Amino acid sequence: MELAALVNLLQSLPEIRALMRCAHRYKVRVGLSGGVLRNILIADPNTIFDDRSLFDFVDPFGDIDLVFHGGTNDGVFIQALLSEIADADSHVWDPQTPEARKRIAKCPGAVAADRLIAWFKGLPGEDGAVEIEAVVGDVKRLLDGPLAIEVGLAIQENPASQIRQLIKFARLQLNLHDGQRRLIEPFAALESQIRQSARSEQTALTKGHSFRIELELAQLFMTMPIWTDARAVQNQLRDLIPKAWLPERSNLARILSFESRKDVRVGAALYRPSSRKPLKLDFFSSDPGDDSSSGIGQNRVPFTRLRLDNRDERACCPYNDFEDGIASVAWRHTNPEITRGDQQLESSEYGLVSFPVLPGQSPEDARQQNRRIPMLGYLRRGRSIVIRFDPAYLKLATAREFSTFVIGLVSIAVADGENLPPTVPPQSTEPEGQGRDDKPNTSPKPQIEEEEEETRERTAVLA
Amino acid sequence: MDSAETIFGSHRANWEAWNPYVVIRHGIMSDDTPFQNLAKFIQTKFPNAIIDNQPYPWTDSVVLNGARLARALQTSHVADERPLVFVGHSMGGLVCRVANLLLREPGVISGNRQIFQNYCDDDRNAFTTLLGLGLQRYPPMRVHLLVTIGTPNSGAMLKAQLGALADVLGKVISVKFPSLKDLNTARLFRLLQYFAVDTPTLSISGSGWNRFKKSSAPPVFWVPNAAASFSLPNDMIVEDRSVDLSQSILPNEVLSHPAAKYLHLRAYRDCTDVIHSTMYNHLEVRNLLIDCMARV
Repeated sequence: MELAALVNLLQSLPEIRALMRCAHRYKVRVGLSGGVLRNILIADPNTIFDDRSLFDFVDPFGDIDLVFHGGTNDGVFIQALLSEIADADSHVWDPQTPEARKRIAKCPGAVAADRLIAWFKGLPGEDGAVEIEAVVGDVKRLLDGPLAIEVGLAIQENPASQIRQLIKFARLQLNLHDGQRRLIEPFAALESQIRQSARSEQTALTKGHSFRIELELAQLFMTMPIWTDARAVQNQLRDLIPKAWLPERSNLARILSFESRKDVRVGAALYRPSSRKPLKLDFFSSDPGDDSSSGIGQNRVPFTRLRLDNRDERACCPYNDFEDGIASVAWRHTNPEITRGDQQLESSEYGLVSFPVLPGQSPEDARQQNRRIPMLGYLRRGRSIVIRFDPAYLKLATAREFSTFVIGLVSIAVADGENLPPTVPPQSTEPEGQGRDDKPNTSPKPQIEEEEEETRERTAVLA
Repeated sequence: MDSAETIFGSHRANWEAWNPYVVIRHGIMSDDTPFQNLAKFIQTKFPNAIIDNQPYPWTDSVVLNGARLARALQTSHVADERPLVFVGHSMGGLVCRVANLLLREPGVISGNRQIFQNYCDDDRNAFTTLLGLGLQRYPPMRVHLLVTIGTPNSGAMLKAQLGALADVLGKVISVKFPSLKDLNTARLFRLLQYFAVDTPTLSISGSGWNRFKKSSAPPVFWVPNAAASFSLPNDMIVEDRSVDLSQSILPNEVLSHPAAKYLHLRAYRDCTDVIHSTMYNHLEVRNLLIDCMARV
């Protein structure tokens, strides 16, 4: 990409213009780097729309790397951004120093785009307001080949790190026509390393290592231009990684053995069940018979099941959005024609809805019988459709009486025209999974009376 | 302590004979229908008044809707001849605030292009549309009273609050409505901070509660369609401190004026028995409104 084109493209993004105004107001020098800048550089010009947004370039499970010079109060600045930019709070902003960027630029597997920082030094439209810096090397050369390999893959001591590094490397290189060829050597090196490790009685991967590999695979699945390329990487890894290395009950074994049928949607959800729980990654594939998998019908993506921890952890404080972090759900179709349609999605025509699911109840029954919970969230079109939302809100809206939900994306036109399911009082009388069996509750408690009772109690306290 | 008497003065003699043009504007995810009772109520108190209770495309930005309202009033011969009163519920109060600003200073958009362009930043056509309304071609109009009811006047709402409102109303909302940006970010308040108007303003709040207080009690929106028939404590959707312009972090066009006449009232001292989506139907709220109209 030409330098001028990049500068123009950056300044055409409303979030970047807001960021520049914010930086000007706070007298802060801030830069953009990392995966978002790389995705901007390699974006297919045919899929860049007039109403493009910075968030279109964020990986489904990725963050936005901002670079600040030392001494800057980046926390205050990012807070200002969150109140300034719509949907900024649905994304993770990662502050870094230029020194950290330099270290990343020299890491094994680094590509040319990783060595660039777009600095914002003035108001949008001003001369020199955007400056592209190369932390190592020459800007023009780096811009000419943003995916050129700057540092080759090195042999890592831990094979898990090697696998993770290789998946990320594959995710970037498979954007190029000769991507497959570029992967031959790294896979051969990995194979050799795994053989050696297997001989030295390598034990199972830790949960942490396994999770990081799963996350890289999720990014790969959701971002590959061609689905079969993602499958090829998956197949090679399945053949290479000894089964003895896979932790018990890990997603990784399931993901590696996953066989996609011809026309399905493949999905992944990343979220924290509660603020104190670690991130959780789930993989899904749609039923080919589900009309949503073909992109028609009311819901654009299949309803996705979330399992949250509904125990009240911090009952002291007023509610804030994203108390348990941001949940990201991404779905893509294995059929390239439908993937192309997803890139044209009119995001203003869709809204997020969720349904609580009772123990033992199927998601379909939950959607038929339980109350619909509309919610605000962020929606991104692209190779994968990504929704980002506040999972803690679901717990709040159901008074922590449910821990399982399905969430989906529905057409507003259809949803507003449909008959709402009758307002069925919640049938769960106590939080799920807390000292009770998982059978559906057959004798619902009269919730309305309970509500009135609660109301009277609370009113009495207030009075 | 401030009261309607100290801020707006005594009741006018023969106030019932007043003939204002009263604009009522609904909030997000609503229309004019639920406000017909309020319109009738005002009409009975002020038989000579003309009530303008109309729907508007609430998914559009607040500034665009405010500008459209201002333009409609500028070109209305009926409104031109009468004292003007704005009554806005929830987001409708913000629409009225913008219309008030644009009527008082019709050249404000063309004279402050950068500020309005920044506001319209992610929609290139929006600024052109605003400018195309040609508000600057008309003389300023005085607004006698601006009343906001449960309006988030002084700060961005949480996504959770907007979700709860959608839940109460049984609506699915797009993630991309421009009006949501006005409610969920500071962009509208950043725009209004640059201006000052001398319109007497009353803000009525239904809530003394801040945020979603965590307690064992289920939130109000758990049983959405039945919520209206319940006696539920507190507004819960828009907090009192958000309604009150004097608690705004950013300056605002109402209080920035040296001759500002501003009063904030809570409909209920203990903030009980009122819910956001129907608070304009409460007699206490209506009485506060009529009382102020009788004074300005």
